[in-house]
Amino acid sequence: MIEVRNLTKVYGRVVALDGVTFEVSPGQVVALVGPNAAGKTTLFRLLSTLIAPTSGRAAVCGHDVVTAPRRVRAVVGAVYSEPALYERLTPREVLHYFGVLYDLDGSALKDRVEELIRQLGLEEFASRLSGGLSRGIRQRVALARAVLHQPPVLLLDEPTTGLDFQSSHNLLRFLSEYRHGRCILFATHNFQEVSLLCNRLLVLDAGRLVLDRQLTPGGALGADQLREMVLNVIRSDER
Amino acid sequence: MRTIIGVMKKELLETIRDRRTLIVSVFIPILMMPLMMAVFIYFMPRASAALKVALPSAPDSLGIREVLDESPLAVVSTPDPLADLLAGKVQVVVSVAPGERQNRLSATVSHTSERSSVQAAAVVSERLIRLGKTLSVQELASLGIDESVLEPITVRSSAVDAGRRSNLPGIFFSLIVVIWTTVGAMYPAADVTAGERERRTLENLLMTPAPDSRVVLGKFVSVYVVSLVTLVLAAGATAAMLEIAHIEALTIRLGENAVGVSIAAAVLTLVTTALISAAEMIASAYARSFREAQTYLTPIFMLVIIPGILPAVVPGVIAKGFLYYVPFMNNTLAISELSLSILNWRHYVPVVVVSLAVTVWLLLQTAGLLRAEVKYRQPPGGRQS
Repeated sequence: MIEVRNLTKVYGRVVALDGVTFEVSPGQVVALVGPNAAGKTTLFRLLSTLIAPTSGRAAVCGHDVVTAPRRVRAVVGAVYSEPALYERLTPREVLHYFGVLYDLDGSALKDRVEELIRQLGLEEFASRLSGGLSRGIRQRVALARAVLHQPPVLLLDEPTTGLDFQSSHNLLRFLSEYRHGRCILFATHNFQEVSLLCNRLLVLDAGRLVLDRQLTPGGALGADQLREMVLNVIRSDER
Repeated sequence: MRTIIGVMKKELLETIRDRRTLIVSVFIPILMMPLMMAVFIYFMPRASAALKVALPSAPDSLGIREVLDESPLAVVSTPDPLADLLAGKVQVVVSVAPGERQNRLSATVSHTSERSSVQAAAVVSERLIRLGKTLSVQELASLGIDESVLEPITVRSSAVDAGRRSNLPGIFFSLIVVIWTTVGAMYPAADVTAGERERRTLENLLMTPAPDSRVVLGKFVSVYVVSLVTLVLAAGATAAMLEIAHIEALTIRLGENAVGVSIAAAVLTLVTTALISAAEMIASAYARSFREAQTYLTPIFMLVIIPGILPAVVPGVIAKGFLYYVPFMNNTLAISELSLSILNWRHYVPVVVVSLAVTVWLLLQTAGLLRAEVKYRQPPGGRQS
């Protein structure tokens, strides 16, 4: 579903991504871990076609991010650490708006919006202006927006940052149901979430992929062991 | 089309929930235009105030008193006319005495250098001359002579280059259009572009498969609608004040081609509003924040205001043909020309075509600019994580 070959992105003299290569198949929930400035957000921005690579290739569901960006956008959903909602719109209005942008039809869109509102427990907040909602609720709305068009590929960039335990738990529970037949790329600093949800671990450090390992969700490797494993592969000056 | 309408509806919904836009685009034009007009009326010459005429002695039979006692003149009685004239209590003193020939009168119109006194003297003189001519015609008729002997040569003046005439209503209304269109579009233009970037919602928008051109067009239509609403409110408030105050100096008189001129003016107003809305959108699209956008919008404001003022300062400038091809300037010139009830197709067509072409070009550039901003500028903080 995701195919990345020698992907490089350079900003001026800063090499944000340096020859990264990997593939992600349907059903995989991939944890993307690394220190700050490792290149995680750059990779997500490349895969969601917001920026173009300096060299190398990336494709999502067979569509190249450079030559077929609109097709890529139709099959990708993304949630960033900042929910970034329209504060003067209600969650229901936000979802309807993005539904139109994803070319969903009237009745199908309405049904899908109401379904997501129910699934994510947003009934009480769906008609309030987003600007007045708590961060946890806003992040749930952002997740609903990302999965509105049921994309086969979901990019999550530290989506639980700043959320309380219950909000994080609800978000992870939704993702564990959504994963079937799809792939999720999940950037996080929380190793507990990695051990619970992910079946693969990618570690980025200074723009390079330094570890690619299969995991078993809820398996033998706990959060502490995962943290130790990652610390052992990243450069010493970042530790 | 669904995308354009969807984006437009969303932007309008956000706009009507934005206090800043409501204040600038709705309340200020409604409140400010009457206020500006009230100030204008206060300082303008009181044409409607009675100009008092002292008429110490005049034969009643000739109708002198009657012609001098019609608005805006009013004949008043005063014991010392000259003293009252100097004191400003009357604006003019008319002394009528027997003339050098039999059955002829001599009228002396005394005034001061005060503006109202000079104005009153001009009105009095014009009316007395007209009365004299009427009396002459009557006298000739009694003798069986045609009145045309009084005017062996008929002289009529006709200005073929109306642009060189002083056109206060034209300048006033072209300024109304450009000022309120610019003001009306300012906040929504900044909100739908720089505001999206500042709130970090732009990336979510650009991650959707909706074509950039349609997204920008939807945003543009919303800015355009708000700008037009502002203009309509401001123009409505102005028209109401003009109606109440009867300001002669600002009254537009449509000629024989009133329908054609009115339609042309309406089309030109729509086109001008589109151009200004597009210009404000591209300026805001480059900005990273609402505040930065406002900085860029100030030059746009100047760009549209200065050509509006120029014809007032340099009246001859209006006749230069090439200026009708210069965007922004040509709009105010054309509106000003239409206010004189002149529909010159050689001026009008280039203005409409140039404005539409520039509007389309600006919108295409805006679409590119929104995505380029995301593509090439590093996120806030400068580092990639």
